[in-house]
Amino acid sequence: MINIKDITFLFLSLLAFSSCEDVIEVELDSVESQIVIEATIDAGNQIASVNISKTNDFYDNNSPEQVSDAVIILKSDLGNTYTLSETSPGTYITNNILTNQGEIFNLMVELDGKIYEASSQTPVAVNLDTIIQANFPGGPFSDEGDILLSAVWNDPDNQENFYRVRAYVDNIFQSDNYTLLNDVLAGDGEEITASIAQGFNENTTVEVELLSTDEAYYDYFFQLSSLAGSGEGSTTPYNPKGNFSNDALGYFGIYYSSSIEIQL
Amino acid sequence: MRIFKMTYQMNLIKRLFTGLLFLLVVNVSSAQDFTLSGYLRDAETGEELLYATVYVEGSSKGATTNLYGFYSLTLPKGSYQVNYSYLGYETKVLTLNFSSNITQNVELEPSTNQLEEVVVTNKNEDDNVTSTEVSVLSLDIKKIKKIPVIFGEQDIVKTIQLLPGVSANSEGGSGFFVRGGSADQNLILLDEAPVYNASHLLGFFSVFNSDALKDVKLYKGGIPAQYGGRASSVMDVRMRNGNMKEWDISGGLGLISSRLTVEGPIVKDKGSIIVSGRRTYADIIAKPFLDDSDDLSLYFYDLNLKANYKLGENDRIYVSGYLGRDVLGTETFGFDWGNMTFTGRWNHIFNSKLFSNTSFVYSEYDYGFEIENGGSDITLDAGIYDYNLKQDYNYYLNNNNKITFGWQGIYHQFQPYTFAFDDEIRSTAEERNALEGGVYIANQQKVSEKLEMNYGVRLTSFSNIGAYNEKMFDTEGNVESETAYSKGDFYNNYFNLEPRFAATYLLDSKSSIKLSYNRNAQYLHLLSNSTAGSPTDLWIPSSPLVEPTLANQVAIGYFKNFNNNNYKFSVEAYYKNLQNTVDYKDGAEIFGNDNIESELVFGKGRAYGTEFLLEKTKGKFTGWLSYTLSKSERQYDEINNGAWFSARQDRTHDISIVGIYQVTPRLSLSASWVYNTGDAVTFPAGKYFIDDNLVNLYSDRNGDRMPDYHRMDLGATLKLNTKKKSNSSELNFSIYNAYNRLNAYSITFDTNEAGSTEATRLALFGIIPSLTWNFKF
Repeated sequence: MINIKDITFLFLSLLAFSSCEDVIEVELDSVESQIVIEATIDAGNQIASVNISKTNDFYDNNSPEQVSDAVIILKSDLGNTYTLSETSPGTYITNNILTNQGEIFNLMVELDGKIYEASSQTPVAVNLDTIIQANFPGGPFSDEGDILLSAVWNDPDNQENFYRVRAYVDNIFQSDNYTLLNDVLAGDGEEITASIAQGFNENTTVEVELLSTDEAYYDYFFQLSSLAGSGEGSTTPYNPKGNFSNDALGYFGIYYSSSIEIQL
Repeated sequence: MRIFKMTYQMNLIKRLFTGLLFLLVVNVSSAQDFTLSGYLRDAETGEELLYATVYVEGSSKGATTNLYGFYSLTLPKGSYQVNYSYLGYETKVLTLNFSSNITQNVELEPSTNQLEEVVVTNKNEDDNVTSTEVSVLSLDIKKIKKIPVIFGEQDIVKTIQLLPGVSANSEGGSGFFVRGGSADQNLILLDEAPVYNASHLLGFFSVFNSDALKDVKLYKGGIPAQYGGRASSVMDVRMRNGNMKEWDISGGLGLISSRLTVEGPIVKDKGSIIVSGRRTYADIIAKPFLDDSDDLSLYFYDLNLKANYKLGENDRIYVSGYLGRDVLGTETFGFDWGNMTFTGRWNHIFNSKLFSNTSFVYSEYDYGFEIENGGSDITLDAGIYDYNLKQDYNYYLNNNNKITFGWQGIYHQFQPYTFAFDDEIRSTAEERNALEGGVYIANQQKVSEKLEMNYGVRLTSFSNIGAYNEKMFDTEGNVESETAYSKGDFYNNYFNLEPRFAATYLLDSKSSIKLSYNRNAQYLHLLSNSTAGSPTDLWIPSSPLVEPTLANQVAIGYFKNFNNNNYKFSVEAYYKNLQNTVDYKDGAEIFGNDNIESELVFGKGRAYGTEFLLEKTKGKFTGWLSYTLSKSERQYDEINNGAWFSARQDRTHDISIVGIYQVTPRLSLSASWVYNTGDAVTFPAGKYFIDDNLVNLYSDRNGDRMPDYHRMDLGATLKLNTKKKSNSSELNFSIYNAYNRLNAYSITFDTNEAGSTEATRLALFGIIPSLTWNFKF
């Protein structure tokens, strides 16, 4: 999609030959640590996983504190109940989850007497068809690499679909890449071609992963993508709202995943 | 409920109008009075002189020319010495015998010596003290050319930002905030046409090419009744008419832009034309510094056109237009935006006491994207289109009462967006239509030798017109109800009564106290989800859900000229409250959203402050010192837990110092220094990780501050020798940010390559020297 921030940056870098960037010390407030719950169901692989952690001060570079001893129960509206067990501190998993398109799952996390709840609906499985490669020197991502990749797939007809495209370069997950799409703009039931919001380089192996997600997942990551970057010209900062009750940060989402790997 | 409110307001209006008429009738002149009227013009170019002074020697009787250079003065039978004066021109005195009505057009010669010019004392000099205008900033277009600016490109908006109560929206930016108001609360008029986006190149230049301009006035408060439609201020920019006497070519060559103006008489002293163009070539300059930029385009151009013709003694027509466009593109991507305006005007003098102007104005702002993606062409277009008809009358009842009245109707069309793949429209937001109306009457009354008042009222209306599917939303943003209105249906109407008042009480001939009150309704709202604004920000109309923004402002000021008018001093204090301000919800989805009104929050605002201005207006050294102490806050139930928070533009201290030193008649040096408290912003108070990526945790909205901003600019202007006396040529050298202060344009909080989090400052402009050559043949 059109990204005004990138255009702005292109503009600025052109205009301001004399611009400069440096690291500065800014005095920041600290706030009380808050609970962060990241919960997903990978429907294709039938895995539900939950990670619970706490927020850090901005300048605190220790790993986030992991939260153990939560009771986590997953219930579907078809009557199935699963209990997640802690496999490493803060990480809770259960396997062999059966999902049907449209099935709603309720997740309940009980921690220190507080209950955090969220629900999500199983999306439809969509497969990635192909990857298109284009050289785009001087493009919006040319500071990262001149090769642009687009993912191509067929959107199922007569329903709202939500997508995220993730990329892995030489097996490293590109976590700051938010390529999000829904079929309202791209066209319901059409073949969708999505440019990945990142530049790539020759002699790398890139794995492109298409997630067909539920609306809750899409909404949450859409907020993250709109917050990426900061300062003038960027979105007014705010805390993204997930679907958990009781003011827990994070989200609960369900997705289907399919990938293609290419050698550039 | 609304009907009741309307009836009540209508009654109130009736009463006010009757009251106003009563006041006027009390003072009707006697039969033995005669009226002197006419135009005041520049003798070299035939250009009308605005706000020039006409007064009777040895008395306090006088008049001021209006926006078209017309004046009217009524006196009892007799012989008088009438004095015509204007700053920068030789004063002319005529002995006139008032035994019948007189038409007298007067031409004034520009002062030959720029140095002597400012020593001439005339009545205009005390205007700042004596006029009822409070909170008004005027710029002398000639004078601002000596003030140093970025890239050497003269810009009226950047000069206005150096005055109290006005601040820049960002570093090098041409957007501005007036007395804590938002950027969309400024009514920017170019020859009466509203300009919706007054910026080029994401704000680094304004759309106003100084070469084509005659006069600029900014009303920060006490806004006269003839203006309406915005909550905070009015910037009235008038284009030049073009030389009536001879053909002229003038222009300038700069490092990143060039200008050319051609003007001359169509028929000498009857009609003239002016064409002025400007184009930047930043992309061409930047190319050598960038790799792989062959297909890059990045430029803007603008074109001002104006022609006028006198049909006789009493009629004159004008047409003027503006066309400006920004273009940014690469091989597979294009983005462009711009304004287009057209104004057709007819001045008519009914008699020596009644002057009228009728205008038709068309104004358009639009933008478009084009992306080539996987072989298909994706386009997005959006725009706002205005058709505006208005009439303004000046009635010179007698020397103590000057009445202005008129009406205005604007038909607005809004096209939020049309999204197409290979010219096939994929999604489009419904077009909205609205009619904005206004009628006003005001009187400028000299109550006594010491007291002068300007009081009036403006009644405005706003109607949404079908066809449209109007949706109402609950607080969660879900559709509550949907009503389909048919074409031509005026389905939602707002009325507002806007009283305007200004008074000046002279303490003595050199000092005065002024007071003003104004209420303004704003029916259009600019939605921006970014902190600095972008060309794609969306204009939406008021609607059943979005109520008009209302502003009430009171201001009081003390004005004093001293040391033989070498120095002018003023201090003003104001308080402004805003109702029904509109903003996006956090994380609003904007692109391609049909239900944009579901993404809005409504709140209120307040702003108050004190402004000091000390000017030195005469001698070799001129300049000013401006200081503003102010506060601007907003409140939304959904933001910051409903607590008041600082608006981004809340800059507690704002200082500007400008000095111009005329070393020799040919060489002048200038310097300016600005300082302001950093913007109110939101910095993270913590952090967490989602899907392995950093997410910042924020606490209070706008609870933090950017670092203080300060900067010094230097300039020098050297007049070059020319063979012919009427030709001129000068070199302008300027240094922007002379001591290379790294002012933070933005601060980014992110993870560095080592994996730890840090704050990164982006300083946009370091020291920037530039050179411009200006010429006139």
